[in-house]
Amino acid sequence: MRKTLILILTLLISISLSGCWSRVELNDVAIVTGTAIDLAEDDKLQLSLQILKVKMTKGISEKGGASDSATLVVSETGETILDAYHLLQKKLSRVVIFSHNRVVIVGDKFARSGITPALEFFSRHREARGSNFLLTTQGKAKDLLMTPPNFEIFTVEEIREEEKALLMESATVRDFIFRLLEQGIEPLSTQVQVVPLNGLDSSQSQNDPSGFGMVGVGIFNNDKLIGWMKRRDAETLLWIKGKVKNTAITVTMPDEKAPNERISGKISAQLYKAKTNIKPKIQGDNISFEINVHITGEIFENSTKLNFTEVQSLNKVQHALEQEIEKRVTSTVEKLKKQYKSDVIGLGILLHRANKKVWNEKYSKQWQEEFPKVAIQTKAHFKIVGTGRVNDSMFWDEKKLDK
Amino acid sequence: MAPNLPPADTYTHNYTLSRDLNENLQQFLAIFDKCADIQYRPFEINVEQKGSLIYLSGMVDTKSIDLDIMRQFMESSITGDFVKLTDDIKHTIQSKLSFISQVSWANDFQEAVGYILSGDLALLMDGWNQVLIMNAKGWEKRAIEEPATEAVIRGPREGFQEDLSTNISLVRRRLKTVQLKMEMVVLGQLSNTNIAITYLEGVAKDDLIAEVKKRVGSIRINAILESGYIEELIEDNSLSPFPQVVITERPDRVVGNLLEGKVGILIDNTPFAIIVPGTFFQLLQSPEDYYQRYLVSTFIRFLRLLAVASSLLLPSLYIALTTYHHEMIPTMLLVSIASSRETVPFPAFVEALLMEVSFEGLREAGVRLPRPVGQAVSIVGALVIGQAAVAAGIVSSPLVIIVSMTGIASFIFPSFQLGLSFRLLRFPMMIAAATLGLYGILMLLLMLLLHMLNLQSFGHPYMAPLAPLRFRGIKDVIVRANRLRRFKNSSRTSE
Repeated sequence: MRKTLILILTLLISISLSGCWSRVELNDVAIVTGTAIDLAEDDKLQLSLQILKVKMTKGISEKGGASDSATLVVSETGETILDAYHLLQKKLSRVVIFSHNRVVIVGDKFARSGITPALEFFSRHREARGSNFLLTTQGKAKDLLMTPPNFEIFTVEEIREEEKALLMESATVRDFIFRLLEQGIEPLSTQVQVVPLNGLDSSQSQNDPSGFGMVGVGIFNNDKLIGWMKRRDAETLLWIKGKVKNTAITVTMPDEKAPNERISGKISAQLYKAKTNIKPKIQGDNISFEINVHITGEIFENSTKLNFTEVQSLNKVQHALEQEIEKRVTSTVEKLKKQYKSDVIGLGILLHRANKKVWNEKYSKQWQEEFPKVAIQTKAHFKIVGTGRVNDSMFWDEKKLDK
Repeated sequence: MAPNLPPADTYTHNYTLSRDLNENLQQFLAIFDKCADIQYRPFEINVEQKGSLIYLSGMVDTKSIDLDIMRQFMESSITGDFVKLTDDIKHTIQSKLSFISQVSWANDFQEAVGYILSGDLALLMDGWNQVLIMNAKGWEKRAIEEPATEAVIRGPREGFQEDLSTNISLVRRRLKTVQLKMEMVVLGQLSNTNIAITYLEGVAKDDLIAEVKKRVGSIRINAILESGYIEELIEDNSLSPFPQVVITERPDRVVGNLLEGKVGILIDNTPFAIIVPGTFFQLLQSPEDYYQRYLVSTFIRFLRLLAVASSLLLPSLYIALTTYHHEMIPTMLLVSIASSRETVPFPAFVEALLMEVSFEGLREAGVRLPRPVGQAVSIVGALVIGQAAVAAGIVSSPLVIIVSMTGIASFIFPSFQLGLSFRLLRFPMMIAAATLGLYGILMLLLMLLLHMLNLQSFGHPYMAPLAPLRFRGIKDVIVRANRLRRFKNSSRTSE
C-alpha cells in the first residue's frame, strides 16, 4: 500500500513538475507550406516562408474561390537560416512549424554560391522533412511563393504535385544530400519557373494566368549550381535513370532508299516504362560505359502511311524510335561531359561498384577530371506494346479503301 | 455475522415438533409473528381429526390448494370415506389425499419454516410430529422475453427471466443429457437465494468445478439481489477495470459455453447468469457469431477489434496529435482541423473532455429517463451538443465526429460490461495523451496490456488464446473458423 502510494505520488509529481513541455495547440501554430531561400547583400540569406492563414482556408473551401489569398509570405534576412527564422518568428504571433513544409526553392544566385547552408539547416532541424522537394529557379525564389495558386489552396502544393508526377528528374532534400555526399555522383534539382499558361504568344498581357512550369533541371557541381539543362535533356536524364512516367517521344520518318511519300511523316509514342542498365568497362586507362535503355511505349500518333498490322512497318518504327532514343541519350551525356563536366547520372558510382580497387586507387579523387574523358556507347531497345485504337494511318490512300 | 441472524432463528432452533397440533400451531404463530403474509387454514376431517395448512400468501398457487387439497379433504370428510390419519398411514396422505406431485416431510421447525419461506405448502395434522410439505409454489412471473441487452438478428429469442426453475429448464431444454449437472446452493443469510451451479460432466475440468464450488461456497453475505454480488465475490481481481466473468441473459450462450467446458452459475431472482472462467475475447463474442455464416462473422469480429481500439483511443489520439504531433496529420486534414479549431477557446484536451463527459451524461440520462421524456433528451442532446456547440465555436466539428465515432464504437461491444470498462479507461487515456502525447498513450497502453496479461480468471489466463499463444484457439478468436474445418466432432456424414 505504502509502495503504491509512493509510486503514484512520484508519477504525479513528475507530471506536474515537468509540464507538457512541447505542447502547442493547433490555434497557436503557423503552418509553413513552402520555403524560399535567396542570397541577399553582404552574403546574407533571405528566408521567405509561405504560411497558411488558417482562417482563410475555410472561407475559400466554402465560397469556392475568394480574392483573398489563403497564404501569407513573410521574409527576413539573416546571417544564417536559423538566424533569419528567429527574426521572422519575432514578427509572428504563432509558432512556426516546418513539419508540413512541401518544397524548398532556391534562387539561382544562392544556388551558384553553394547551397550547403540551406541543406545544413534542413537536415539538422527536427521538424523539416527530408522528403521536401528541392527546386532551383532562375531569378528570385521568393517571387514563386508570391504567385497565386490556380487549383490548390496554396501555391506550393501545385509545385509539389507537378514534381510528384515525375515529368522531369527531381530531387528531394534527402536525395540531394546523398548525391552531394556520395563520391561519383553530382546533385541536380528541378528548375521551376513561373510560366504563362496560355503559351508564349506575343500578345501577352499582365493579367494572363500563370502557373508553375518544370522547365528543366539545374546541374550542380558539389553544392554549386553550374548551369541549366533544358526540358528535352532533363527528360532524357529520366530515361537514363529508368524513371519514366508519362513522357512522349516523336520521330520523323524519312525513307532514305526511296523517299516516296508512303513512309515519311511523324510518329509520336507515349512512353510507359524505362529500364536502363549501364555497364562500366575498364581497359587500361580508358573507361567506357555501355548504356542499355529499354523503353516500353505505345504509339499514339502516326502521320505516315505505315500500316501497323504489318510487322515490317512496326519494325521500321521501332528502329526509328530506338535511333532517336540513342541519339538523345548520347547527346545528353555528351553535354554533361563537355558542357557541365558534372556526373549527375552517377556513372562514378557504377564504376565504383564494378571495380572497387581501381576506383579507390585511381579515380575516387579525380573523377571530376576523368568524367569528361569517358567513352559512351548507347543502345536502345524500344518495345511497342500497342498502337492505339486504330491500325491504319488516317493518311491512307482513298483508293485503297475502294478495294 | 451473529447479530444478523433473524430473530426467528431462536424459535426454530432445536425445537422439535410435538404431536399436539395446537402446540405446534402456537409455535408457528410465534415464529411468524408480525408476518402479515402468513396464512393458516385450519380444517377438520371427520370432526375428530384436526389439521391446518400453513403457507405464505402470494408465494403459493391458491387454485392448486383449493382444487387439489382442500377439495379432496372436504369431499372425503363429507362422504366419510376417511380413516384417521395416524403416523402409520402417512403414506396414504401422499398417495390418496393430495394431487400434488412433489411432497416431502419436514421433521423439525427449522426445516418446515425454510420450506414455507420458499413458498411451499405445509400441512400440519393433529397427532403428527412431522410436517407434510407440498410443492404448490406459484407466484407472479414475467413471461420469457427477448433479452434486452443481447439482442440478435438470427438466433433464439428466449432470454432468462427472474425465476430460477424456469431458467434451469431453459438450459436443460438445450442439453438433454444426464451429463448436464445442476448443483443447488443456497446463499445469503437473509435472502436464502437459490443458486444453481451448472456444468457438463466430462467436459468441464474437475478442478475448475471444484474451484467454483469452493468460491461460491465460501461466500458470506446477507443477501444476493443480483449476479453482480456473486461476480464481485468470486472474481480473481475485483479491483481490475475488466470484467473477468461473462454475464449473459441468453440460455444459448450459457449452453454454448458449457459445451466449451465452462461452468455456469444461475441465480434466482435475476435474469443474468454468470459464466466462468471469462476471457477477454469471449467478452468480444456474440452468440450470433456462431449462427451467421463464418465469413460474415469473421468480418464482424474484425470490426469489433477495430471498435475496441477506437473506443479506447480515438479521443486521446485526437488530443495527442493536435497538441503534440502536428506533423503526423496529413497537411490538408491538418488545415481543415485547424480552421475549425480556430474559434475554439479551450485546449484540445478540455474540449474533448467536455464533449466526452456530456456524451456520457447524455447516455446515462437516456438509461434513467422514462421513455416519453427520453426523446426530449435525445433531441436536446443532438441539438445542443451536435450543432449549437459547434456553431457557437465552443467545440470543433472534427471533435464532434470523433466523439460520435467513439460512442458508436463503444456500442459495438457485444458485452455491455466490457463496453463500460473501455468507456472508463478512455478518460485516463485522454489525460495521458494531454500530458505526454503519444508517448503517454503508449505508456498507458503498455500498462493496460501488462495488467490484462497478468489477469487470470479461475486459473485461466485472461488473454488466452492470444497469450499464451495457442494457434488452435486463434481460429475462434480473431476469426470464426468454418465449422467443418474447425471441429473434429462436427462434420457432414457422406452417404
